[in-house]
Amino acid sequence: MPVNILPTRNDRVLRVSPGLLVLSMAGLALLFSVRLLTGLVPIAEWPDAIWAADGGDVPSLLFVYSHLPRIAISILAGAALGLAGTLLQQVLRNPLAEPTTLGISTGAQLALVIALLWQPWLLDHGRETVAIAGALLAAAAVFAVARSGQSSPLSLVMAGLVVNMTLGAISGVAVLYNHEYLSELFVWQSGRLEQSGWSQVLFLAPRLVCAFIVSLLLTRPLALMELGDEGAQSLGLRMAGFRPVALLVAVALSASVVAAVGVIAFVGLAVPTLVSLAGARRLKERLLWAPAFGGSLLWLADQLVQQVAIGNTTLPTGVATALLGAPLLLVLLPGLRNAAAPPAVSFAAARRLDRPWLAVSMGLAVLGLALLGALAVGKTMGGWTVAGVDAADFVARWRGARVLAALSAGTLLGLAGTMIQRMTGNALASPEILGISSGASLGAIALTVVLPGFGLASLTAATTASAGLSLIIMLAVSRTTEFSPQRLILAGVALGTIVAALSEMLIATGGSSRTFLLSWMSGSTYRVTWDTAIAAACIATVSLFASPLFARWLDVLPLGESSARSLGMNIGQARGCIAVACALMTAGATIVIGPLSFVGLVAPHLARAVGISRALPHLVAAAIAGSTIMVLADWLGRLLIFPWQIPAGLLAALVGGPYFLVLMWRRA
Amino acid sequence: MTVCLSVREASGVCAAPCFKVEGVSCLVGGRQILGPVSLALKGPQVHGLIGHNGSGKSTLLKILARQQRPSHGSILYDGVALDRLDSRIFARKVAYLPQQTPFAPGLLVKELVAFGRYPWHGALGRFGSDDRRKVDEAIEMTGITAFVNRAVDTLSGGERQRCWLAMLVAQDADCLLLDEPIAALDIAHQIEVLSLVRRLAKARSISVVVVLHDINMAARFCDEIVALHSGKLLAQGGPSEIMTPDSLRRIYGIDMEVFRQPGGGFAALPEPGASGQGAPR
Amino acid sequence: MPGDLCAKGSPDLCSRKDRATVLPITRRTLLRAASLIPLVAGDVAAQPNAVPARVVALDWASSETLLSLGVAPIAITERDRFLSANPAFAARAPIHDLGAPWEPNLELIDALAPSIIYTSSYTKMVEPQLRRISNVVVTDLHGGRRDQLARCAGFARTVVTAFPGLADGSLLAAMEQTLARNRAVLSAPRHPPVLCVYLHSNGRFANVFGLNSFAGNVVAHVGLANAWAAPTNSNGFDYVGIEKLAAIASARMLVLGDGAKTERALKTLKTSALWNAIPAVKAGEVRLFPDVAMYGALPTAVRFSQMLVDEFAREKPDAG
Ligand SMILES: Nc1ncnc2c1ncn2[C@@H]1O[C@H](COP(=O)(O)OP(=O)(O)OP(=O)(O)O)[C@@H](O)[C@H]1O
Ligand SMILES: [Mg+2]
Repeated sequence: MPVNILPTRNDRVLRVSPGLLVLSMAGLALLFSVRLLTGLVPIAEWPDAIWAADGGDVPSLLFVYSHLPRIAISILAGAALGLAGTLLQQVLRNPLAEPTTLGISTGAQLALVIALLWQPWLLDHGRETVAIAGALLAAAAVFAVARSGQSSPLSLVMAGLVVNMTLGAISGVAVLYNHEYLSELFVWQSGRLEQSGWSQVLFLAPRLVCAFIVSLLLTRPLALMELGDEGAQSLGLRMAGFRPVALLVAVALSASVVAAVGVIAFVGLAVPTLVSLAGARRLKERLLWAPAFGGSLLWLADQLVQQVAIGNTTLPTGVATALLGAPLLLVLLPGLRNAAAPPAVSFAAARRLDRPWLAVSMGLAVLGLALLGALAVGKTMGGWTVAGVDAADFVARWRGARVLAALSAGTLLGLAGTMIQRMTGNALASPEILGISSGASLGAIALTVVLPGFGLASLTAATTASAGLSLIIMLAVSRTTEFSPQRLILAGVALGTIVAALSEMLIATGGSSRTFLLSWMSGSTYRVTWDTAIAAACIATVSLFASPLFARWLDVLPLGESSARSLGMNIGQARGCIAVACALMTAGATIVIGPLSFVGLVAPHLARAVGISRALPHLVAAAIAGSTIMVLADWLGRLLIFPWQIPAGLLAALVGGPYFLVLMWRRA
Repeated sequence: MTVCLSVREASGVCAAPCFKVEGVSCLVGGRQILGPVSLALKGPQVHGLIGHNGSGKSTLLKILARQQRPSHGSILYDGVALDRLDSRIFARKVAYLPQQTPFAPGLLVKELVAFGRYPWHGALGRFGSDDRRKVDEAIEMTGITAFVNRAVDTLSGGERQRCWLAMLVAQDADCLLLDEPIAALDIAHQIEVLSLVRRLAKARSISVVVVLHDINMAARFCDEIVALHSGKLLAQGGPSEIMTPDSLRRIYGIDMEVFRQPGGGFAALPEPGASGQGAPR
Repeated sequence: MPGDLCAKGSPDLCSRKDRATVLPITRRTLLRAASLIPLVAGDVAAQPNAVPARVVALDWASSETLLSLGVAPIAITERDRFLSANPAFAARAPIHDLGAPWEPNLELIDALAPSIIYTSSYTKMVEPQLRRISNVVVTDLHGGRRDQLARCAGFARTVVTAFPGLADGSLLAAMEQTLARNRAVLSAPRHPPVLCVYLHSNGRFANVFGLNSFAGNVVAHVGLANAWAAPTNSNGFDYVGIEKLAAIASARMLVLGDGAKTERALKTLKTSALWNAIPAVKAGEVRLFPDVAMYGALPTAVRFSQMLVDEFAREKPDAG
């Protein structure tokens, strides 16, 4: 179901022609560049500097080998991303498609990380091949999950989110245990355009030209794709051939950008949208203007970034584009709420249990076993140990709080995930789309900047405050649309991107809290104390007992907005209450084990998969599944690579991610 | 064209539950897709809503069902402004079946029908014996007893339609708003469903507004027919007033022949030479 | 009690040796012992000629200080990496690995029943838990100030006082002597300023070590000028694009870390015009140095200072 979520009156939104837009941005960028360059070499000496660079003085060297290639690479990367974004959006008929939302950047990045850590020789010869292979795999996973063309824009974005989360978890583990590479990897991930020669430019330029030519050749068939598969086929176009070619070009081009300069977020999203808002309606026009506009936009962004020094360095360009682009996602797509009903992505259970509560009690038994194992079975220097009653002191001191925290967080995330999925009618939704965990992370990040030597109390305070603040913002943003799921999801994605960009930058700058930040963000129960664990357990208990209050709403809401309304439900009020409840639960879980809420995505599915469909048993079963996953993950995380430990959230994502992708791929 | 004949008409209140629509219009993206429309629908009667594709039938129905806010104008239900009613109170009075019934994965038919009781028990109230009885009654009435234990999404289009209708019946509202309830049904089931609707209207003394594309069905089962054209009210009246070649041409833009059936009913057929060229766009 | 843990499990799961050493020590007796003597620089539990000290070190700076003084911790974090970075200690290698420095395995530490735990502010968040296991000494050796060598030496001295029977005072004396000998041996006008960098493997970025870094402290100690005077982060380093290095005239560049990563970076950089135009590179003033721990302690300081002195003393000082 293709949903056009762009405003219908496209041409009137921006009262400038694409040409004017490009000219003004490029002009501004040129102005800044000239100012920067004349600070280095007076304009009269530019020809000398260029011709005699190698023998020249330092300023002319910088002029030729640092500043000029930086300008060139910013233009090339921007153009490439603009072109790739346009192609992707055209082929997938999805205005939200772009390299970052489709997992392409993350895939390329992970492949490069793996190569760097384990097979560095690969990078000497095929840096790009590695990146493209990773990008293709990630994109394939996203398409498989979202069922490519047929899926709605939001499901694609959410599938991208899942894939990004999984791949991010893998990168996280890889980096956590190779921390001497830490700053290196994060510097590169945050998208820095510093250049030290022309090699990146020479790498990217021919690829951009090739991609551009191929896409021009493909213009006609691609334009027909607007009719949808059936329409195009009935006009005699064989989609089977053109679609993969166009996708391949777009993916390869974006992977090349990642290989050359790292992740530059949102350019691929914003540029095609802005170009068509400026009136480039036909595909051919868009294919011409998008690269031009993308190039000038990134050029300008990069010049602006260089105007503001932060300490000894500047904001990474990729972080800047994420900071600017994320709000754009919200501002530019107001038409979304008029789009068709929320995409009904769901996994109908193969069977349905007649007695769901029996399954729930069996789940409870499994949870009991997991708890017993997590508490009693451990390792010590001699090998395995089983703690008896007499070791209660030891168990209480070292495992009790962690297990209780994992249990509570799993319960909270299972409940919140079920609520979100039922409320949005979308099985790809997870608590993190509310932006609450991102908000909490933002608080932790801010804390590491403001107060480097912080303690647990201030961490809790900061995360709670910022989680609350982001909740208020999210609710305010989506109140006018009666908390429409689409709005919530977009806002969550936007906030998540900002947080990812900021945290990458902070980790790259190498402050002393960076390993803390990394391990907190990967869902470790290591630092949990009894105080926090008990607090989380209280929140979890209250939530569990309050969940029947929501059950009826959650039964009816999946029927869709109009049915729910005609049954007399006050949609805004119900969604508002559910969103607040979810936010509180997510915040409670995030404060304990960090923002990795993969459990919130998987647990409701597990409950569904065994055949539970009514809201109340679904909530309870998901809570049990979530807590079982977290307890097991915490336990195994302590055992698998003893005496080292794998953060519970990370382990859950490492196992749950692939499982979830397979599940989604197999659904009929 | 007057409909409300009650003595209370002067005060704007109908004797039986009714809608009073005044100057209602709906703008989407600067385009007027409905209205301004003024009309009154009095119960207990079956009102057929007809018109060409895109004439605004669904839009009008959605506005009546409070699914959508009108851009201008006011609507009174039972003498009370529509937006002043609490949502659950409103749902006890007015039930709505959308043109496209939503996809409900894994939901059983009996559960779906039981949702019809939501306006009565609300989010927290008990599902009592009264609710139970109404649900059973609705299941029996709509003849879906055979598949109460099946998942809704495994049913055929027609079976599904009847299940949704059963949910509306269980809702026990004073007024049913049905958007093309027979679009997916075979002729026998079309007759069955419309008879059911009619029986219900008479037995429970409720009013029904039903969007229909089949003018003959409308003529046969409705007490009154409301015709829309390009978002405007074109005609309102009993079947005998609407079933004339003249008004049918105005409604659908093609020439039709009207036959009187021996039983007193009407049947309309396009004239052999009708080309549809005049169909409204 | 960890002993209980073992008792409960099947006997072959727990080594007898561990139990034997674990059982006689109770935390309480140690605590009592510790409270009797005056504390030296923190709460170091010095108890002359008592039970053999069971030392656990959670940060590399303490680990290398302890090992270099002859006190072998029973467990350290990131053991394998530490040993491969400090092969000299392989002979007295600690038995147990405690896992990641940012998440040392608390259960294992408790089971080991250490008499003292050395750590840095890195594990600040679990300090209360650590204190419940045993005495904790939190070292404060780095953190951006310029007296890091003095602090390292001070810490080493407390170790010697804390373990009179174990720690070899002569080793400390030797190290301090070397350090004192190397103090201001070199001098700024005669020897070029140095630029300590650590190259990223793609050759586009480098970590540079400023005045407040550990390496920067050693550079200052031997009397050299640090070519990187720009502000850095709280740990004294910063990452910059290599074009920033081009602006630094007449310095000697010390590329720290001679591993595969640095080799890859240098290979890439060989063809880079900008790199080749950096004054230091152009003048052939690039030296490959073994890795210097970013958060090192006295032994590293001694080693690095000696390397610096050797490097510069080998050649004739400039005419000026
Ligand atoms: N959300 C919307 N945005 C834009 N136009 C709309 C929207 N909803 C309805 N319309 C337009 O309003 C007009 C009336 O639509 P409506 O659905 O009421 O027609 P209808 O009479 O029910 O047609 P049909 O018989 O095909 O169901 C149509 O032209 C439709 O395109
Ligand atoms: Mg309709």
